[in-house]
Amino acid sequence: MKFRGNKKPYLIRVTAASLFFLAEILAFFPVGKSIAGLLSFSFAPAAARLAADFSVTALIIVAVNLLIAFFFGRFYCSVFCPFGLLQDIIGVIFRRKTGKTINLPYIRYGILAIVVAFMVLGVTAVLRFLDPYSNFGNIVTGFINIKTVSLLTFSPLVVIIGLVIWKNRIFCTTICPVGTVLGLCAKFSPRGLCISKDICKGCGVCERECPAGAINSKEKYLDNERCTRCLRCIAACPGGGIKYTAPEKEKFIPSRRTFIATGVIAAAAIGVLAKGKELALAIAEGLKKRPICLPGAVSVENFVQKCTNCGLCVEHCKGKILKKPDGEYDTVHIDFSGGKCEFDCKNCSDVCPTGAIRKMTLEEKQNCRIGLARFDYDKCSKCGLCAAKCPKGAITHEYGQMPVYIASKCIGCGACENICPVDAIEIVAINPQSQI
Amino acid sequence: MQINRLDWKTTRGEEQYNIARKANLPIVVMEPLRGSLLANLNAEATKILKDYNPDASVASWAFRWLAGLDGILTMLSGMSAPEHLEDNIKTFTNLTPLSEEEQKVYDKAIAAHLKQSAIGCTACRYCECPVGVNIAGLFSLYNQYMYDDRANKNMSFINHYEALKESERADKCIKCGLCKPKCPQQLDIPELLVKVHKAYLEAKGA
Repeated sequence: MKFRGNKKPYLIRVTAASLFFLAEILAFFPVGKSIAGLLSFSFAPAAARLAADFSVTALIIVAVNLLIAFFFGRFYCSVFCPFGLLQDIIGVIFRRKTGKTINLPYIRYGILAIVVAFMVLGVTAVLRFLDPYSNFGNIVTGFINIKTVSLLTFSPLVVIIGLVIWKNRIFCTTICPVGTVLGLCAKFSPRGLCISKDICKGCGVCERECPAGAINSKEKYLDNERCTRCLRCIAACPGGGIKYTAPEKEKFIPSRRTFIATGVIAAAAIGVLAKGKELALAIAEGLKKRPICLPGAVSVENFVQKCTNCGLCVEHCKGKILKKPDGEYDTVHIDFSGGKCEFDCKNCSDVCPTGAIRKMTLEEKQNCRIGLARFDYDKCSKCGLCAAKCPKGAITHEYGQMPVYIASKCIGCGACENICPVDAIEIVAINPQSQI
Repeated sequence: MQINRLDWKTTRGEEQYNIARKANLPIVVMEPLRGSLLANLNAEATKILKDYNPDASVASWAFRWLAGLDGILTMLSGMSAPEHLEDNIKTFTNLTPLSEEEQKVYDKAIAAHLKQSAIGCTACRYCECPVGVNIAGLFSLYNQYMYDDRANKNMSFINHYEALKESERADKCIKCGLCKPKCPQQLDIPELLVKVHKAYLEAKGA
């Protein structure tokens, strides 16, 4: 593919995108814990965090993303969004040739309305398959944990490969709620990319190169709402006919179809507001097994409503006790068989981008009860290791006696279960979590 | 304060009442019907009361027993049906304490009720089991099973027990003991849950 136009903006964009993409993958490895904060700049998780665990930082992140989209367009989609960059890589691997454009505004507005309705109810888990960051995280952590996850974990990957092969960045223009919001900001912007009617000879190279299908070269029209600012069109246009300027204002004439579609979308959103919370609670009730939740999850119901399964916490857990959903559990959960909840660690709470895990001070975490210990005194060998390892002093032991358990001091960290040589201790989940 | 004919003795209600009276504190009575237990006495006890006065509800005896105590400001009655409200209005219009003869009849009825072994839970749910055992539900099932005279009582108990979610059942108690200080009836809940589960296993085996 030979670009005959101004390649510089495109090359700068690709360089920036590559650096972000590598950083975002690295953020999922323990060495990348300091970069994990980068992922909290993702738009949908930051918006979710606003609702779950308000912070000024989250508000600033959301505002900055909206402003950038308003003034400059959807650069987020081609520079920062890891799922978008993943699609570009898939496109290169499968040698995707861009096909005809299709624009399905009612589908993307409908999806956005439903997502917003769920998020207003506090059910941000709706983003599990619709948020590009969560999809990306799910795929990356799926590969890292490939031995333990079910094949179903990779179904979004199969779907996105199919979508890219069919119509390139169609997820971004038709499904992605982040793209729809940013696109609406770009749509009402005073400036955008425009095809100069004087320069354009109608060769159609830009339309062929556009992964979002946002260009109609016959009508010399570039749809800034769907344009993901990959800048390939500028690189391809031999005459330099695409410029960043004030577009012609289109008159918005609502048609009958607009009214009907708006009505349907509004009805869907109201339906969600009426029944969405019930549905979310029913899902929490119907979980295969009640999990032990991470400290800061507040309760199983809250966690199931907020966690989008990106898996970032799983990768940064110091004790290596966090596991992705597997055959036994439907959510991210704690498994004490290989370790304990490290007393001085609050990585999961620090990295969680959606606020499904409350932000806490270390002291709050060390007083957050996630479970209680069940002792099988028949198996007990009276070694006293449990008492020695308990960070809260919830177990006392006299030589030769059974250990004495003081439940009121226990936070369920699993140190005792982990150290017991005869498997006489089991941590049992409690719901909701409490501060002792 | 939790004062009623049962707690007068079993949970030192009389001592507490005396302390409040000495300090001249007006008393607000909670659990006048001991969590509806005193409105639903067993068949033998109910017969004793109805034989004496067929028109008086069982609950009215409990309220009128309390009316005999000085210094009571108000009684908190958890009325969950219109009939309860109507009956209470009837009782409290021209409220009269029990006469000496009525006291004796009431004592006889209470004794007949207490003869059967039951768990004195009032379903206040202060226990808040952290692992989700349905303590009040289990104790209620057990009490009903104890009072059940029917031929299919085992079947009925087993069915009701198994209708509870597995995580709620008595054998899921981990004996952490966090419930015990919270129980106003001072029940030894972990011990009693063992009793309930044993009863279930025996009913299954029968």
